[in-house]
Amino acid sequence: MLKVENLVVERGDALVLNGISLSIKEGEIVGVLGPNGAGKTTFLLTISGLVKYKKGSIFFEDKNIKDLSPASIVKLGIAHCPEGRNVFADLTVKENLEMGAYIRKSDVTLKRDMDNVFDRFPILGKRQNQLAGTLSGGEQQMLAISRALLSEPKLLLLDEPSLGLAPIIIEEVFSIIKEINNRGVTILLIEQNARVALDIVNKSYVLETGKIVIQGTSSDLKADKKIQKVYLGIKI
Amino acid sequence: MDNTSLSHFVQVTINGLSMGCVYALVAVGYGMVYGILNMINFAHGEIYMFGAYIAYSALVCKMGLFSSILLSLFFCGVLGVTVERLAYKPLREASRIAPALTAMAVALLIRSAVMIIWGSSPIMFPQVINNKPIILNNNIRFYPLQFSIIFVTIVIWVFSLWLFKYTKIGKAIRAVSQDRNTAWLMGIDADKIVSIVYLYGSILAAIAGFLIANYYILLFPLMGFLGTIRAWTAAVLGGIGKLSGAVIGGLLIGLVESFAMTYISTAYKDVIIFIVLIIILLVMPRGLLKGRGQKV
Repeated sequence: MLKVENLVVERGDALVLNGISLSIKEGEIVGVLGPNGAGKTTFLLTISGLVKYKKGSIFFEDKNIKDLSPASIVKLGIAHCPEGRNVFADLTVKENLEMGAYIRKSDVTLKRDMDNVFDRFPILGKRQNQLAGTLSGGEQQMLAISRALLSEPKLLLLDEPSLGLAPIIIEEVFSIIKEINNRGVTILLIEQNARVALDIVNKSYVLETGKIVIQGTSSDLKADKKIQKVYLGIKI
Repeated sequence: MDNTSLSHFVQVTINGLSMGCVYALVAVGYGMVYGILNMINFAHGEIYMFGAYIAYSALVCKMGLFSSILLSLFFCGVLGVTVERLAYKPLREASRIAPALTAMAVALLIRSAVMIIWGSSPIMFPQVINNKPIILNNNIRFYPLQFSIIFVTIVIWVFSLWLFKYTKIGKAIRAVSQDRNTAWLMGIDADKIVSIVYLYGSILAAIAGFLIANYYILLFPLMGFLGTIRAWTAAVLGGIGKLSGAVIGGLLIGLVESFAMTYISTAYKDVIIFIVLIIILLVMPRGLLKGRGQKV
């Protein structure tokens, strides 16, 4: 479904991504793990078209999406839930969801899907006319994910969904991610928190200073000595 | 207060409110174009001046009132969008000072072009709207044009409030103003939204330019710069990025100017407006309606 080949991204003078290759099949959850500053967020922003690149290529459903605007990439079926949630703080919860559905034409199905969001997350329904900035971190994350889904994506890009959340909320967020995947949405997940991520992904890539250093299934990675030491904090 | 000075006071208030409405229109557009890119658009007032000159030429060429207004709106809209695309868009990622300086250059460019085309000395605007004052008791004069200015402003204010609050495009404008990158990720073409905002702001400026030209029956190239100063002060006074703040700010500036002209000195009215701007920035930088401010 998504195929990235030898992607090189520079920002200013810095080489942020140095030849990344990755592929995702339909229905998978794929993780990109790695420490802060490895280039994970830049990688997602590049797929979404917000960061331009000179070398390499990105194919979505066999279509080269280089030089497409971020808006047209959303229209192809890639939704991006940004790091730090980035809800529109001065828009209401409902207006945030409407922005997520910006590319949709029909109001009838939107009403139905919006009601589904409120059924799944009653707190968002209760606060639909409240400004999104007044929600708690966990609620904002639910809102950001629901908002991204309202564009009816085939592929969902999630940037650090655990960031800044309490452990119990992280658990909830990850079960929601699993649930979304079960409904047929392919997911590319970026995480620092390898422990929770490895429990739900099919395969992972570990990114360090712009390069993929390890890749494999969750069981491969959990068995890897270096992963155990650096990412899971297991003493050996 | 005796009767004469009371009616004088009422007269000054009416005049101030009418001028204030014009400033409000410029300030609403100004606040929008500021909000969407967070840049001070020094060229906004020039568009207002340009619109008045276009209307002047159209009227001199014996075009009808309505078609002259439309022509002026069209030219200003095209100018506003073109300036944004050519001069500001390439600087999106540059430091904040770069587009502001570019805007100053654009302002100079437009002003110079106007001076080349129409000359630098003031010209008389043809009086096309019947403006025979209605004389109320106590000798208070209320001009039909003042009524039109106030009416047009209220209509545009209400329309803009509706546009921002309830329409898809209005919500998208607010989303882009808050976070352009996230808006892109929603599938919103932020570049298109920015253009729409410049188009709308320029059209409001053109309407304001047309009204002020009819009000003073006089055009001069520097009126754009003076318009920018007033609109800027009005937008800051009301709270930058707040629609109703810009309207309230505009009305207050109109009143300040009118009272300063009558009770202090005509020559110092601009100085007084500058003083008001400095005081606001010192004591309440976020304005009356607590707009954006001190954002890092």
